[in-house]
Amino acid sequence: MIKPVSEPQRPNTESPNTEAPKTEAPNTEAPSAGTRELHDAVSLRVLLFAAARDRVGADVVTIDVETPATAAAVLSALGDRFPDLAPLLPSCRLAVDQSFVAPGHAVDPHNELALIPPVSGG
Amino acid sequence: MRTTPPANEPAAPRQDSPSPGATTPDRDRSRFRVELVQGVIDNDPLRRFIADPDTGAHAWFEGVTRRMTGTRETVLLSYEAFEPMAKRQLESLALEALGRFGLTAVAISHRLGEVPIGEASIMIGCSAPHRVATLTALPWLMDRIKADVTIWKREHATDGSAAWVHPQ
Repeated sequence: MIKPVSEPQRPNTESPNTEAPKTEAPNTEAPSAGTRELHDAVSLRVLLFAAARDRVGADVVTIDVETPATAAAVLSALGDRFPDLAPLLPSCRLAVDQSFVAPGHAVDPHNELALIPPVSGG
Repeated sequence: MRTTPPANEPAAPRQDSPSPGATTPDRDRSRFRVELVQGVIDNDPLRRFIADPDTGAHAWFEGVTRRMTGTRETVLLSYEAFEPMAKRQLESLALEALGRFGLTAVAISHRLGEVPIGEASIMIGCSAPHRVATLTALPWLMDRIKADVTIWKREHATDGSAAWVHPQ
């Protein structure tokens, strides 16, 4: 069972001492597309294997996906975050708790997510 | 420390737990054996597993590392798996094959890690009262394994290159 992980993945450029109550600073990370509504995001851990792992250089990654998160959104977020992985994604499937799921399948941090590139056992 | 008797544990797919009076699915669970192994596949336990006095056919498929693919020469294949998922998938396929083909027993062993030329990466055995069931089940199982089970093969060539095999 994989524990949900909530560690921030973005480089933390703030000093650890800036713990003071935050004032309403302008959110510089807001999407630039003015009409797009900002949704909550969820951090999801995804296991990587074989060619996918080699392209990313890690066997597990944590990505932020807007809620409500789906399998398709996870694949899309992986492609955005790791451009080298993008060409492989159309032939990949997402496994949720060790079962393949449809693109619209909802996922949350309690699920074990695994990116499954084309298999070649036998 | 275990405080409950083993008999109260959830049924695991074991050959030696016939559990009389079990439901059909439980009985089926005692009729397949699935394993992912490092190193050479040991055929003897598989052979013993599918043996049954009421079977008239034992059929086997053994997949081995091939040297030449067209003009390309392979040195060895290396396999890796998402092991817990692959194991569950193999168990599910074995169970389905038992019912679909009326088999008596199924054993599947897949090797992980490096598999040199001529050595087996997979061994599937099945038994049934008559041969047709066994000879039909083997290609069905292999096709399903190659399509869905989370195992990957990397081909190492004579020129020192290595590439993940992506079936079309």
